[in-house]
Amino acid sequence: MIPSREIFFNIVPAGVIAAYVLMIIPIGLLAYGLARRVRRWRLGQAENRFDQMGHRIWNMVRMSVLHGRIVRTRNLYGGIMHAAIFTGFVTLLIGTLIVMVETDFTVPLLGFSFFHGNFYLGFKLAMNVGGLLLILGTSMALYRRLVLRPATQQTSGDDLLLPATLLILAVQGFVQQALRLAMTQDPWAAWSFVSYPVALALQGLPMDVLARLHQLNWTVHLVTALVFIGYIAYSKMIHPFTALANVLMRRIRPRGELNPIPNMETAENFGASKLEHFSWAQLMSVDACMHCGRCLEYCPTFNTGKALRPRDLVLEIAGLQADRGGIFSGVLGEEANTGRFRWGRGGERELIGGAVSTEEIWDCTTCGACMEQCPVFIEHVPLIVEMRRNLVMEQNSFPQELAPIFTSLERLGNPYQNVPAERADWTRKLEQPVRQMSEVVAAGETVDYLFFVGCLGSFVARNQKVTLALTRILQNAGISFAILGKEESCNGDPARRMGHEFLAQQLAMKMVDKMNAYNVKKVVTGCAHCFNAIKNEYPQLGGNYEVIHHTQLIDELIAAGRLTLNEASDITQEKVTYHDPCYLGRYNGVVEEPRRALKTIPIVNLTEMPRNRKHSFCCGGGGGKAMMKDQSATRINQTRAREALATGASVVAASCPFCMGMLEDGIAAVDEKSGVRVLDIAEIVASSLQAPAVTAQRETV
Amino acid sequence: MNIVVTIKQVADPNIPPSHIQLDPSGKRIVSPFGIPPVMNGYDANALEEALRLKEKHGGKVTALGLGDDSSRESLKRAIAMGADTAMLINDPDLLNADSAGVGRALAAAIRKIGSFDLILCGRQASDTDGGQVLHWLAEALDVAAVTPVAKIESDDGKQLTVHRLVEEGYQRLRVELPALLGVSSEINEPRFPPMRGTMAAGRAMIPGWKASDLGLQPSAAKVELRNLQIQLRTSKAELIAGSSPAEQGTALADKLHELGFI
Amino acid sequence: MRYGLILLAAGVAVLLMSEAGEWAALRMLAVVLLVGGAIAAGIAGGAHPQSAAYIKRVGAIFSRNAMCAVAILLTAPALAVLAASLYGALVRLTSSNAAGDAPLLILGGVVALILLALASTVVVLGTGAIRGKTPQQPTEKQA
Repeated sequence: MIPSREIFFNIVPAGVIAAYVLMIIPIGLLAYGLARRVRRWRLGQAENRFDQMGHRIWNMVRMSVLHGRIVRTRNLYGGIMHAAIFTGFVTLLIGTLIVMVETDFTVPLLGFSFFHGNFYLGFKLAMNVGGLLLILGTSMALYRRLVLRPATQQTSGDDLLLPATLLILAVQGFVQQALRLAMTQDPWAAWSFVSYPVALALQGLPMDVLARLHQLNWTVHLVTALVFIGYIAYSKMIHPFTALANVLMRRIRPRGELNPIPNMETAENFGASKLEHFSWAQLMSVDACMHCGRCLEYCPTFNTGKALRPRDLVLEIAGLQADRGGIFSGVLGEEANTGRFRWGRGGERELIGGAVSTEEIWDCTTCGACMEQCPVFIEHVPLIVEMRRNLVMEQNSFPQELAPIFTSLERLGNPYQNVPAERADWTRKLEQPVRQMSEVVAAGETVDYLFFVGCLGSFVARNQKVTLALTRILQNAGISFAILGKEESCNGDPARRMGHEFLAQQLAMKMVDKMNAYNVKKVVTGCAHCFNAIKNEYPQLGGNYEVIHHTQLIDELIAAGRLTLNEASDITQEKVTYHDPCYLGRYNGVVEEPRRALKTIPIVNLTEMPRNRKHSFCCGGGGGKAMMKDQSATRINQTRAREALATGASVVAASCPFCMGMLEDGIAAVDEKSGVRVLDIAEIVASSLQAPAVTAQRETV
Repeated sequence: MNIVVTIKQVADPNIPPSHIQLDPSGKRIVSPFGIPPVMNGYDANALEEALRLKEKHGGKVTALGLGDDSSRESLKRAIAMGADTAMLINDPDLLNADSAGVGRALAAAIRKIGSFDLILCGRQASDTDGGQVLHWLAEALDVAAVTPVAKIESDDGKQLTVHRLVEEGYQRLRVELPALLGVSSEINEPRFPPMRGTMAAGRAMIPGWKASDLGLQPSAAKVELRNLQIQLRTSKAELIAGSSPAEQGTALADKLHELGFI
Repeated sequence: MRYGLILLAAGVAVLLMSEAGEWAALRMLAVVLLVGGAIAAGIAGGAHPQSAAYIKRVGAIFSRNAMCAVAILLTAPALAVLAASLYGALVRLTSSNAAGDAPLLILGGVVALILLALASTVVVLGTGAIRGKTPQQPTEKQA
């Protein structure tokens, strides 16, 4: 006998007809819900996300279908859980479709049957594995939501109902198979390794009872499946559609690059105070969120108890645009039942101040930990910056401590009221002069690098020491470089991330004009923020340069043997831990170069903080927060300082002036007697230089 | 309520003393590299107060300045903050006028602008700290002048109750409109110019008026500025050494005594 | 909307024909018509301004308790069958004639027990969620 089974076994024709006809209700509801969502997204601003389709599709397959971004070594539980549910669900879905193809297509139309023999046996095996995986995955999901309860997960009814329904569907499937096997007693039944033993146990029941139960369970299994399909568009189960769409349509730009406001002079509106001010893709992205909470894992504001939680921000925006025209808009759609913010609250709220609080908007350090973590590429920081833009440029409303910062940036080209004429005064402390671009160009010469010093490196006493150390390294290695000197001003990054796009563009434009006029080709920066802005955002304004951070250059110089390092130096034999600046590590992937540079220094003992590289924890100084108050709950820099102190290191290596200031303050506040120093990698390397500069360097470190 | 606010552009008072420079004549402060001149701080307070009155009563706020063409920047800032229009008296002959001359020129310009209910001036300018012009202006327009004003307590469109600063307190004065107030910094915190305003200011046209446009006869200054001088205060630090706090304290006391402080 | 309804009507007609006449070949066509019609009607409904209010009224019919009852009805048969197989395994194990099948029967009983335990837990959780019971939330300790 050839292994196979009768399709629609024991099911009366009326049942089959009912199954096909009833199917239209949930499919209609799904199409209705999706269509409503698409209509809402289309209210957003235009944005081209249809370029590089091949790359986009491959990225989607790799990151989502193949789980490239879903499974992570740092938190395997969630990844395995999702992979199990996904594989189980898809296997069962494909299995159902195979049966349909056999019975409705190949047999009646092509006269060809494949649902037998080895294929059938493999099918049975695969379906049982699929069912088991689905049960395993959903059980894991429920166990995590109810027992493990990680701090990053707030659980709503929706979060329980979906795994519960999927699990019930799988159990019903096994029961259905067990009943049929108990009736037919197929000789190949053991291939259904889960249902078979259950079927054996059922064989004592009378045949007509088995048949009745079989019909009854078939009916409820069908209805459950239909209810589930109908529920998809009104729950986070929509994510296979929205998340795949968002991964497909994600912004393929460096994550450190914010979209500019083009043609500011004629723009009718700045930033977002209404949903339709966001781009359609941004509106779509918030619907892709399924409350997994990964964005919170390394979030500096969540982990220090502040108002901003990126997950909630996304859900608040999603809740504002939620479609209250669905089947669940009655009592079932009330707040506690489905997604916490998705339904119920009503759409008649302001975006800013109603759905999202201004406190949340100003809390953000723009560190990007949420975006690095998000499995479906939701970009939280641009959403926040859009709302900041509206607050600053339309409503003239921002934390009061920013007014002098904006004024100083506008008038003096630096944030802290420093005298522009003193920008190059640090060079006076050098033994060997530094050339200025204006002199170099006037002399008809060229240099390899423009050293973009940055405001803090130019004016702040502590950071000047780093600038001096870096200059000595460049001079020691014989690099041909020059600075802009008095002609340098802020690159625009803080203004931009604080929402003052107009000011940011003015400042950036000034620098681009200057650098283009001097025909600059390569830029080395002493600051992670300057680095990111010039590298990723200046091309928007016609400034295309090869930009390199000083830690990369130092690493290159060491590798090329252009720096000779001493056996004995200030910090040899000390334990050093390295803090990754967000705008260097996370945004631009520069994580190994600084470490390599440190490791080449003889006898430096490099130790890591638990949160490092792309999963680093922000110092609290990004996005203009270094210039704002951080008063609610725990200070971010102190949290990071504690983490650094816990490593037992005596030196915290930094590579960004903002991080340096925040960490020094943090360490002083947490344990002022620790004696732990914060040193830039340039300072550490300079102190090991085998060169005349060594003695002079000692004093400055 | 139609309000005229007088705006003077001055060198940034936050310029560190070591960076203050004078022009060759020795009569003017030159703004050093990278530190553009600003609107006089008290004038910003006056403008802010005018804008608040306008928000309450409606009407028009006109900013009026006297200076060279570069002074348009401060008038643009006034528009950015919310002034409806701005005018500049930019006659080179008037740039070296004394307080009386400036007051008369401003008065002529205000008459040309038309009717007004209130004139708000800064109590004085941070570069000369004279505090004279507003009196000459009130005189020329024949209105009451109160200065320095720290608060407008109430206003009904016909008269104002204001607080005038005196040593260790204030007087409550009732002033009939039209009037002129010299505003002090206690009165408010000037707003940050909104972005839309800044963009509108960038496009705004600010007419320049000459003495002839105002029907002014040239008159010799009765007070002449001969020259300015920069006095630099120097400071030096000395560390008091000592092996114990007690010893350091004694050494400090000795030093202070030696210098004549105690 | 009109196209959607036409497709749906055609789909039902074709389906009935295929079942009545035992023309299995027509069933695929019926499925295509029905699914296509459902999607077309759904999308058209999404664009229809009145549809939201209409569906909202339908949604208001479902009370929490009614949905709980539905959930229990939908899961009860499976739970009953699992309980029956657990019982069946016990009965057959205790009667002497099942000696050869004993390991498999024990396995069957264990599988049934696990599935029964999971499914009934999930029913409790799911009905709780439908009734709007918020599960216990984690304490958000600072990292």
